[in-house]
Amino acid sequence: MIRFFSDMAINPLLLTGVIGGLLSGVACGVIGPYVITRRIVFLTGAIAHIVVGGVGAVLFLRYQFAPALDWLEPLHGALIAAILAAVLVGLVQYHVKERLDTLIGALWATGMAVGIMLVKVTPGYQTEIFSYLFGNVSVVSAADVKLIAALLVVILIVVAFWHKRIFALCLDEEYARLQGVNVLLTNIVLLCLVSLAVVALIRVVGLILVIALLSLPAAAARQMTRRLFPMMGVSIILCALLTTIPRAAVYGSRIAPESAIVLSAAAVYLVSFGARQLKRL
Amino acid sequence: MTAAEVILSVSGVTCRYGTPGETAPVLEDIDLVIRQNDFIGLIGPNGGGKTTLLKLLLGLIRPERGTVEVLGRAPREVSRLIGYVPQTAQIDQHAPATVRDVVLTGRLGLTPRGFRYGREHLAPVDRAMEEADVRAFADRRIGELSGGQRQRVLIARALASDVRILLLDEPMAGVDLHMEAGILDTLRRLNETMPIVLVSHDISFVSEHVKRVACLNRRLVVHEAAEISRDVIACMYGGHDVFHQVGHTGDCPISPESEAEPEPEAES
Repeated sequence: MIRFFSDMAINPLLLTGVIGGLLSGVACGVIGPYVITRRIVFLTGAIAHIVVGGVGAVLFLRYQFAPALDWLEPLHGALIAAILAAVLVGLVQYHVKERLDTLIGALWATGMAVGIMLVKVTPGYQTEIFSYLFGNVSVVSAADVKLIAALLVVILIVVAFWHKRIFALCLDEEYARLQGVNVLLTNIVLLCLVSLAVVALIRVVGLILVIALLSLPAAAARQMTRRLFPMMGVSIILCALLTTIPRAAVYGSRIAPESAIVLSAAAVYLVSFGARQLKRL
Repeated sequence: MTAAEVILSVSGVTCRYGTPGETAPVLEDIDLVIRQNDFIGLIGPNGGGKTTLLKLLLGLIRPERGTVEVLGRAPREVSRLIGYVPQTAQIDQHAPATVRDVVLTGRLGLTPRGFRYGREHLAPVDRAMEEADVRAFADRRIGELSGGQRQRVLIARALASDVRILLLDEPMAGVDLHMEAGILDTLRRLNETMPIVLVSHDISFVSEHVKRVACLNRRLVVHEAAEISRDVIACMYGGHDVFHQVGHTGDCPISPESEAEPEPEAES
């Protein structure tokens, strides 16, 4: 832990990693409570896995059309795929008469399969896609931090503008519709926010594990609070701590920082859940 | 005596899910007028169309034929004037919301986009909570309430936007007798200022407390009094067609002769 901070002076990537972690932590701290309240944790997982397809597509296109597309970053592909996935899932949810869990499974596996397929035909990029799947917090660059900051700003603006509607939708969709809320649009807006949070988290924990940071800290926060705003506050603090402290703690050891982050999130949730249960006894 | 103001009128409404010719209508030729001081109990067998009729009144679906008007306008245009208490709200036991938060969502249609409800919405919400007797636990989490308290919160939410009519779908489901009496008092008080439509399967409950009974089994038959008549009982068992539409006996599970008694639990 101490070495982490002393090394920060020599290795600028450590500092950008911490800043990126903090910013993405705030993003998922804001969005997590909506995900938990609307019970769309698995939809979030599906969106994350569709994003794998987007990353694969960018790596493939960059290889095919080099050097013309060298400016295209995998995170751009991730962003486009995430927004498309959100809109797609939002439309499908209301217009296709199919069970939601079946759709989630289908989208989840398809997105992943497309990503893997595209990367397999793109020589030399196997390791890169791994850094998106599992995250690689030690290579978060200044450019990544700028993108994460931009995503966070967009998330905060949209939440400031849409919160009442999104919360009403999360609480009781039927009643929100009766109040004149455009449920289809509001749901897509929420899923887009989730997508932005997913993209912000890719570098920190990877696509496979984002589901943990979008659910566990908010779920822990719910055990401690009774209203949404305090829940959001606790969730933001937990997320910001979780995306920074565990990785500093395991710095220099053989433990993967991404795993440390997710395992810490699980521990925080378990402790808060356990404490709540004990209090009830 | 002048007739009270018409709040809601349904005329010649037919409604079906699916294409005409392929599926039978769920509602056929419905006429209904609800005036300012009405308190109508809507009963009928499962699948008789009660929920569909409520959805029509709320403007959630459109009729195939006929018109629905609330205060002279399409329900969708005046939806904030229609208070609706669903049978079971989707609100999660674990939702991070207090009673006040839930009742505030009843003001949503009156507020612009944004982050918070303005101060001007707090007073109407307090008033609605008072009318529904939930002011005392305004700051409790919604998941901590009993079934009856929860139902009252839904009534408060329905009242929050200064409504002119109240529609309740099985409000006493999952509510114990003691709470039921309290909720009824509340409804009677509310009925002094607005008409109420109450959907129920509990025939004795309906007959004791409403002013008129309407039986819905694809067609609607309105009884001007609320006592338990032979027709009302037959309606509950899915057979009012037998009495009113000779020739439409297909969907009547029992003969008119054998319906004599309501179910044991309906007797007090």
